Amino acid sequence: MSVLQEIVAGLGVPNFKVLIPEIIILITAFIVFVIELLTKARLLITVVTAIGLFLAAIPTLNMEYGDLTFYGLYIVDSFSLTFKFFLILSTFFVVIVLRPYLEAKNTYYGEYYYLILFSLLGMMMMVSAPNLITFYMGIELASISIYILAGMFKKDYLSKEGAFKYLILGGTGTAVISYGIALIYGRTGSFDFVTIANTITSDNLDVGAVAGIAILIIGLALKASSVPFHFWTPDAYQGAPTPITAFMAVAAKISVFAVILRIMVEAFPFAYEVWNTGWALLAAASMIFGNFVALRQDNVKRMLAYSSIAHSGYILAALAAPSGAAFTALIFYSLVYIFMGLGGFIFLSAMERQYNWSNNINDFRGLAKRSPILALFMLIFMFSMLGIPPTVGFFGKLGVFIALINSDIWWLAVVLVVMSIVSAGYYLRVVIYMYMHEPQSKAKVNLSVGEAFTLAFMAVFVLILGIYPTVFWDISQILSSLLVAGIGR
Amino acid sequence: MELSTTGFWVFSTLAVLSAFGVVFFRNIIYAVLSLISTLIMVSGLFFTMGAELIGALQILIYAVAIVVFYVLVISTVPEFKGKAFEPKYMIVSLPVGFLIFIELAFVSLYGAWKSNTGIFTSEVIQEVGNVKAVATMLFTKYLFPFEVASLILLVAMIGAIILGKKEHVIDEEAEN
Repeated sequence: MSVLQEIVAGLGVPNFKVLIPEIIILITAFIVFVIELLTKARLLITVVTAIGLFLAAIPTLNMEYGDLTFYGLYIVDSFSLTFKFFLILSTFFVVIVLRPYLEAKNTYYGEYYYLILFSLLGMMMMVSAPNLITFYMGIELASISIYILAGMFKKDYLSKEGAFKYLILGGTGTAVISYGIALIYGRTGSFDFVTIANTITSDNLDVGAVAGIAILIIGLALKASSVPFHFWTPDAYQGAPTPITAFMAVAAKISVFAVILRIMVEAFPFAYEVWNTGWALLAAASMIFGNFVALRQDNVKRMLAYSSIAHSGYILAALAAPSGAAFTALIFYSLVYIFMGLGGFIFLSAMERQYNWSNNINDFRGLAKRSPILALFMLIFMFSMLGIPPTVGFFGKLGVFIALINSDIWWLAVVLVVMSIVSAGYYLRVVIYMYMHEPQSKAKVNLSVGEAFTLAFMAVFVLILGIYPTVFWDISQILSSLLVAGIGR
Repeated sequence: MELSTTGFWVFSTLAVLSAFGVVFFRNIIYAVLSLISTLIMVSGLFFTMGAELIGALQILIYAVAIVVFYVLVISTVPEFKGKAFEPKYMIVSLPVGFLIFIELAFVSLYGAWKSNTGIFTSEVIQEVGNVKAVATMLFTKYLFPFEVASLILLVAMIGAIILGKKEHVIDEEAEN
């Protein structure tokens, strides 16, 4: 037998059972594609997408046996399943608020729904990648779908501009990532995280390895919109349709954080000095720049975009410490950021449908008198992003802070605290405008059922988690210990 | 001199000369033509090293597909007057480009690369050929990413159609 025949004969059938969530998402996307071609029933498209997401979420919760399948190219473990569940959850909320928003803006396309599903599929691939090739294909599928989604607001110049910047800089990011992957492949001779981890150890950190890791970090930082690679973020977030902004700011970012954590911990566990320094510098720059620029914004959507850059900084700061506690803090903060981020952006998406609302800070004047409940929800989201105790944002920042102190990285911990205080300047400004000014219009605020449900769900969850964070903290702890145990498996 | 050595010197000299042309020609069409020439010369380098698959792919994908798109863009966008030298950008681009060049050269010369250790030793390649070896890996171990690439192409196609077609406004649709 020749070598090739031996390779082919040694292969079995991949275990498709662990791929059920992905398969359901893919089939739903094609069903929506066909429905969109044949009918114009908008409600049907939303309902089918939501049902597909719901069905896909079930197996992520009750799957008993994970597996490393597709010949070592796809891993299904608790880490990936948890992140898949939360990605599906956030996509679900985006899908249920999308239709009223688009109809209010007079620009409905059925294509939004299956592009969102394709993008979700790419993110699900990213979080379960044990191999640089799978990760690369996942990030490409996710970002190409999002470039299109960001530019679909075709009447709006800002949307086109934002999508164009995102396309160019995202393409640069992909190119940089592939350059990094090429260097690492040249150095180690493999794409598998396990082999890379066994080849690059702390005593043989040479130029090839360090250059590969550094370039990969730059590419990933561009995808996570970390300063100084953030230039696309404010424009793309401001220009995109607001529910899509929520999708970009929450689902896309969470998957990037998850994949960053997995690559750093599983592929380069013995080169931690390199990536600790790299992420610490990027995180400090993101926190300082994001918060100070956000102070000067009058457009709340743009302000939230800068605040999301600052949050990238808070989350990535955990990677400055190579300890289990830091990884736990990163997972916890990413998971709870879903609720604050979705809450904030979907609030804007709901308000943009109201009469004469332009996302300017002046539009928030006296909102508490027009709609006390809605103002209360926004207050909760702002307090949580700021990190005030009864909300969950406090525990996210506390986890990162404690992890940094335990590893004696005081300077970054100090930057984190000082920048959190600076961020009070713009988060509280929104609250002050809502509660301490007289309303300019008396128009009533109308919400659709989906929007009201989403906002209430997010606000209540932020509060519940703030009072009782143990559940999520335990999950994060289990995931981080599994990740650490998986090194060099 | 052996034929492959002669080939190497001819191809590499021409590649470097055409690369200078890409940078220094003021007329953008000349620059693109020099780019095609560079890419063909690089593929010639691959052929002299016995990597016939990469050489062929280089010609097919870069020299034909991508550069044709460049020409298409240049000819459809009338305002495309390539401003060759914008000094304020060169403050950043020159050092960064030089740094990347130094890094790549240093890594290559320093020999940080791992030597070929996989199952495809040069004897096996001699026996089965590059195309068969790559195809075997692509359709067995890397089947999953290969299939996902088709999804990426589908998404890109849908996106091009959506972004390219005319905006239809809801009110107009209701009237019809």
